[in-house]
Amino acid sequence: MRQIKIAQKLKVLLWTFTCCVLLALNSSAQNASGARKITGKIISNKGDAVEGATVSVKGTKNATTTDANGTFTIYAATGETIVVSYVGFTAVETKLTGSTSSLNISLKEDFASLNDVVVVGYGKMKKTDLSSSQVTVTAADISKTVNTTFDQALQGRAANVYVSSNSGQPGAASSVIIRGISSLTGSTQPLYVIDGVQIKPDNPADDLYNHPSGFSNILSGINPDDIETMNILQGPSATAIFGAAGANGVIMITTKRGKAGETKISLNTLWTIQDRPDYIPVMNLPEYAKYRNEIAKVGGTASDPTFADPSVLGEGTNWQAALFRRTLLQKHSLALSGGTDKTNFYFSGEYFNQDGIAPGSGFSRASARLNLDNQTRKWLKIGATLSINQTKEKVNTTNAGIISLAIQQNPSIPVKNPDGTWGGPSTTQFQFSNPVALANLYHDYNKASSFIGGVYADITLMKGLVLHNEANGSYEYYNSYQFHPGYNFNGYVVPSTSASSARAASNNFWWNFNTRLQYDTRINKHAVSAMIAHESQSWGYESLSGSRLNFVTYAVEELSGGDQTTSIANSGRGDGAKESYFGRVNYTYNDRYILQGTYRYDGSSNFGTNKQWGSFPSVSVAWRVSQENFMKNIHAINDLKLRVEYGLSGNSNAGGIYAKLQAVPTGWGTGFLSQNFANPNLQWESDKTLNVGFDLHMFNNRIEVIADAYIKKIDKLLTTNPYAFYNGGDISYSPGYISWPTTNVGSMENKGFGVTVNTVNISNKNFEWKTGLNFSLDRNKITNLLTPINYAYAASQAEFLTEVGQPASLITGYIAEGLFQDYQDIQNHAVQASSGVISPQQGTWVGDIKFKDISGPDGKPDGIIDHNDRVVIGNPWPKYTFGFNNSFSYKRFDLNIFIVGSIGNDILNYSRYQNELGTGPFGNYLKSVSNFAIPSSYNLADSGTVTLTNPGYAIPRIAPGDPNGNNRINQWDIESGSYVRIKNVSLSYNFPNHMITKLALKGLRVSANVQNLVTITKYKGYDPEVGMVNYGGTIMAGVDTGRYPSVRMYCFNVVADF
Amino acid sequence: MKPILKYTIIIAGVAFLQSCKKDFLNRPPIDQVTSGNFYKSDEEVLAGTAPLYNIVWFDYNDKALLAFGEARGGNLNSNDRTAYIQFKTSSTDQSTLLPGYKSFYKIVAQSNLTMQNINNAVGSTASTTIKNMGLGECHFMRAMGYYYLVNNWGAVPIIYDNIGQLSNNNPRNTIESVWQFIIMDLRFAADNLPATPYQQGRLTKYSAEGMLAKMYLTRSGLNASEGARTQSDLDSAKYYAADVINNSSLSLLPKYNDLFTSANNNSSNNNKESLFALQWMPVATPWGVNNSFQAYLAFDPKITQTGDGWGAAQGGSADLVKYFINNPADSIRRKATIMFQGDYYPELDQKDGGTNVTNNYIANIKKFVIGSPADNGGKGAFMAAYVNTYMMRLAEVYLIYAEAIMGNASSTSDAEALKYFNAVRERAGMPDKSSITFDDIFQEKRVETALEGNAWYDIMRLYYFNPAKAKAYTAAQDKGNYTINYNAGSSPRTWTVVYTPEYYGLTDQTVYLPYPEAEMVAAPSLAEPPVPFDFSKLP
Repeated sequence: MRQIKIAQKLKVLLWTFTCCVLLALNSSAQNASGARKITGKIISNKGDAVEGATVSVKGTKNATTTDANGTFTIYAATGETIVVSYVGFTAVETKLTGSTSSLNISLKEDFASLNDVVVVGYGKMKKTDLSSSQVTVTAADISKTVNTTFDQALQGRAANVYVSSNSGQPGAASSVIIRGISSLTGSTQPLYVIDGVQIKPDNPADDLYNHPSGFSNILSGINPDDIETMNILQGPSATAIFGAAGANGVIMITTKRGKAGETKISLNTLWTIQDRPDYIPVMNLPEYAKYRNEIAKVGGTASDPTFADPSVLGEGTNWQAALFRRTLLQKHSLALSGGTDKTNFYFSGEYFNQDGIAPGSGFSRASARLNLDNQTRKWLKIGATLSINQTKEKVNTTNAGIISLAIQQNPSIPVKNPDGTWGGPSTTQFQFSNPVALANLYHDYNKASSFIGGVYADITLMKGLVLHNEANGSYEYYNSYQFHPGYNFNGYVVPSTSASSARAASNNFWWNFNTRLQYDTRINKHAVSAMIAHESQSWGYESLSGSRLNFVTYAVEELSGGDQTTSIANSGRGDGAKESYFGRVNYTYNDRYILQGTYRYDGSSNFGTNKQWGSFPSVSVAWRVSQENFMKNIHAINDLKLRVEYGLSGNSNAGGIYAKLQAVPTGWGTGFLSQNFANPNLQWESDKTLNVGFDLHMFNNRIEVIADAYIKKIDKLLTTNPYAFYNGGDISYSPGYISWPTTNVGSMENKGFGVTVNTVNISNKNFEWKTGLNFSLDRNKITNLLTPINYAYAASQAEFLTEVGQPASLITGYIAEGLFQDYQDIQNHAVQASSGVISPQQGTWVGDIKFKDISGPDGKPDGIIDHNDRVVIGNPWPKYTFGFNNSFSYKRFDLNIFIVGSIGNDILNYSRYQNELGTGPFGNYLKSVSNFAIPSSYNLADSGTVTLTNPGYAIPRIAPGDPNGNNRINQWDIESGSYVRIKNVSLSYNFPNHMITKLALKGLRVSANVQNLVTITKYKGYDPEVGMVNYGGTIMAGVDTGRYPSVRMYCFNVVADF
Repeated sequence: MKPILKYTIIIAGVAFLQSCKKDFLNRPPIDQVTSGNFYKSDEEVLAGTAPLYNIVWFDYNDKALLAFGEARGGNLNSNDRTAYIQFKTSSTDQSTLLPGYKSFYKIVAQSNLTMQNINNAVGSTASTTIKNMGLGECHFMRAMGYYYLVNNWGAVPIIYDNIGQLSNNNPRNTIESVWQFIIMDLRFAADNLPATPYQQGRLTKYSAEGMLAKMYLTRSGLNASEGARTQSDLDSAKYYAADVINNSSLSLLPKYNDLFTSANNNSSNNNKESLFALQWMPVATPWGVNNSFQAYLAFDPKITQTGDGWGAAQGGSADLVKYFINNPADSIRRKATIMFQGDYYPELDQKDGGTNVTNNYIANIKKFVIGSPADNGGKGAFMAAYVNTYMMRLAEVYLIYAEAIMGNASSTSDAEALKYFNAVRERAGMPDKSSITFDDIFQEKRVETALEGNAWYDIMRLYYFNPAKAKAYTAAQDKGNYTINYNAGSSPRTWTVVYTPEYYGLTDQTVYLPYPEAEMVAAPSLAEPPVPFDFSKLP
């Protein structure tokens, strides 16, 4: 009841305020008398006509925009001031004198664009009035790289925004982490606000063991070309206005809108060749045969008779070469934008298709967008943002683990038999399937159709007072298809009874209503901007799925073709809601002192009635030092602003207040079993952030420095808390499990700073050189936790530890000290084998890995190698990351070089670990394994004399059954993940008008670029960009489990404007 | 002015009123039942205990049954259970040790929560009989969880209230406390379960009594020595076994082989010999209601026809093979338990005319290997064989009865004891005995229940009162590889077996499994000495 009362109270307040304002209304009608026709032309500093510049009469609503020739016509009277403004240029004011009727104005490039208006949460603000930390990524930045989805364009563009992709699977979502992770078991991804539509994606998931059915999310439906700006809100004062949703940072995405003037038609076409990756070196057939013979020699699986003389064998199959191919990525888009002084529109359509470098993978998208604005009355403006899209992702490759399989399958198996049928091993057990065949035979894909959009109405009640109403929504209809036929590859058999088809359909929706009253005024030196608002949101999903087995024919992939008795059907539904009241006051005195306060009161359906509502206040101050009189003489400094902000945001991304039951089929009908430990006292997570920073512009704005440092303290962490297993729960699905309760136990701290330096090094009429550098450093530390969270990947030796005093999710393992050289070496060392004996068959032997005895049950070395000797061996989080952009323009040529880097992070190369250790005798090994340790004897009787015949390598001896436990993950499996990558180099040419007018073109730009040109790294896997994924409910970072590689791309791009 | 006002009011009104619904923020799950609105009727109580017969046992059946019960029990030769066969299980084993450990505490937790939910149901219309029966089922299942825990890890924490005790500081309780707890739970079950199953396959009073007989028989040796087992426990074992034998109306199936066919032993049709069996479904969704046993053990995918059948390297231990080679008369049980080269099984892979066994490097497993869905009325799927897992059969109660009668004597010729001991043998085609010793009964039970997950627990029973003998027994079991070749034309059939003997006995240090590493990290208190359980805390 309490929250309803408060809600009502707030509503009464709001109404009272509205009414007062209405009473105070006065006519804002204006009319210029004595106006005459003024015509003119606007040109840029390079002499080009500027299209779309706004020409207005100061202090009136009288405005127009320039046409394609840069010309305009406006009515104004003597004494009035004509203002010309255009994005990226300094506004020019010209007072009309005498009888001037024609104006030719040349604009000067404004490197800082300080007068720009930027998007903030629930509103817009002049850049100079900002008192919180936020960064803008523009359409120009986005267009400089080849992006399947727009989140990829964020990489390296903004300080303290760590973008990594865990998979090169086309369309796969990237992980975007702003200012360090702020959750251990929930999503760490930011809130995306796309023209008012709020989307909070989950952490991407992609691992062989627990793979999802799809890798893209609803964001992948957005055409990156439609985006005008991405504003990344980082500071607490900027994010707190989003209250419970703002804790991970907010990315405000504004799509393009039309401008008054002649309709602009832009055609953009892109062709890209994607290259093959560099192959992981694995054994060829002679090497493999030799190794198999060795396995047999030491008592392992018998070798193949044809391997008797490896020297006569050919190279065998190179599975990676057989799998990977060069493929095409193409994108064609058409955009029309334009309008009148009353109505403007932006319409675009796009077709995008990317074939994966591995068969059976790919992503395509068709999208259309219509953005409309209409000044219906002087006091009313309405508009709509409508976008629809359809995406399709092919996921055979990832679903069947085909890339790992291509590394694992041994070279004696042919891709195809001489008769053209698929090759395979002669038996099924312990063997591997044919990855190339599976990539072609499986038919797994997902289709999504979605709508994202909204409508708004702005009512100007009086000058400066606007009532803004908007309704936004997103709707996604998702279909997943999987068809796995039976097959027989030479004897490797999956029977037709196991042929399976699975279908799933789901739809989900989100909508909000937002009403806000915005008042802006300026009285002498006092400028006030105030906003009060209400928002309600609701979301939900429905799903339906089914599967069948046993297909008589593979011609029909639908369920109807399968055996009805194997039919399984399921459905699910869920919903949620949030209601919020919030406001913001921004007060600026004399353009020098800025004070901003925000407050949000959020109610969420994720919490029980007694903890449903949470408050999120923030305050920020800024001082524009450069406006002070004592600074006026320091001409080098154009602008200097110091900022301090403090605020509280939150996270409500959790469920678990209800004790749900899981349905279980039994012999007596459906049964029900507890599914989770309920926690009815669940409440808001609180994220308190202190941020200090400054913005500095120097030397005619040719140097811009933006620096921010922050401390973010996260308390009452919403964490799925794993207790000791004797409490009966589990962290991820296991049969009959009870999921651990979501609790508010735990705290962590993120500290960091980011610096952005943009400079214009050279600028003259023909040549310009600009650089942009951003540098970020984020440190995460757990400060409180009930129990360390320790989990193992795929029930293996790869374990990850989150404990107090350390960053989250560190890689743990043993320390390898080398290989045992002789008997004494083993005897003098701690006991390693679980059998405790020195023996070639049943224990430790020469050539086994020697692990360091670090600790025991009493905290001291105890002469036994066991879990007490496990230590942290890798930190997956980078020490720092940076992005470095250089753009050169010479006459009509533009050259852009974009470099990104991530330094100091460790990667557990699980793929190498697996393929060095081996996946049985029938799997292939890495080439490096050829240098395995060879003891002089495998006979227990020779223990006195046995030595290592080939010292100097780190690959242990062949030991069937691994009695020494050489499979313990150790620091040899950890590699540096540091890399510096020339992400993109592009060269483009803008054709001059005289060359293209005959073609009815107004602009023509051709460019060629190379993406992922060079990567400098010591990492041995395909790609050092190993991101972070959600693994069974927790964060798993820095593990390469056979990543889908990102590859070099060669692109050719034409942009034609009509 | 006026229109502005009008539109403003309309738009603002719409915007502000849209969320005035009182329940806007209350969103209970709409596709799932919650405990707060369930367990209220007879049907709901029964549906609440039904899953305790399958999904919670999956990990036990999938991993622990063979690794803990048979590999350590000396009946199994297997390429991927070496650590268990050789008593060198590592605490870091994530694939078998951890899921096994978790499974027993899952059974305990689900039983506890269901018990609480039945007791706390608001506005319940369920009858007292059904409520008591449901509670009886929960107590029974919880006792089974602790039975496996105490036998595999010794002293373990007793969790009786999963919400109230949710923490990492619960101490281990003594082995004695755990046994007392098990017996208390089973006595509750015996008092509250019906004499005849409410639905076929459900637990009865006699299921609980059969288990009580087994528990008392085992506990009689705890802290005792050979010839001095606790007499009152032996008497209790005898009492409960006798009640099951005389009053339950259960009976042995006439043919041993029939016990392990789907037709006689599935969740829709439990047989007259079964006291408690895990009730598996012929589907694998959700994962865990399925019996994955055959998937791992059938030696060829042709047998299962569902894409599984990975058991080429799994079979009977050399020691078990030796018994059957030395006792050719025990051929009925032999052929139903492990396959020898030259055997022919017409019931497996019927569409190809049955299965001929050609493997000579191992004697693959037959028990619970039932063939393809087509061989079993169309029921079954990938890793989902439609056959129940016995947790107790009447034959075992017969043997318990015989041992309880014998008690602390070194042998017995008691007519009752012999009657039931010989009943088991007669069905197997084995000659009667006129006097039996502990070793006779021990051996009989081992062969009768081989590969049903029982062997280790009998060894533990022996270890309680005669650890030296238990160690010697395991140390003498040959666990090496062997080859087995059918002597063509021999009748009765004989085989030539070549052994490569390997011996691994248990020690006082390896008799219990290590706590999983992950568990020790989460709950270091498990390294502390165990404390007696305070039974007054129980509700």
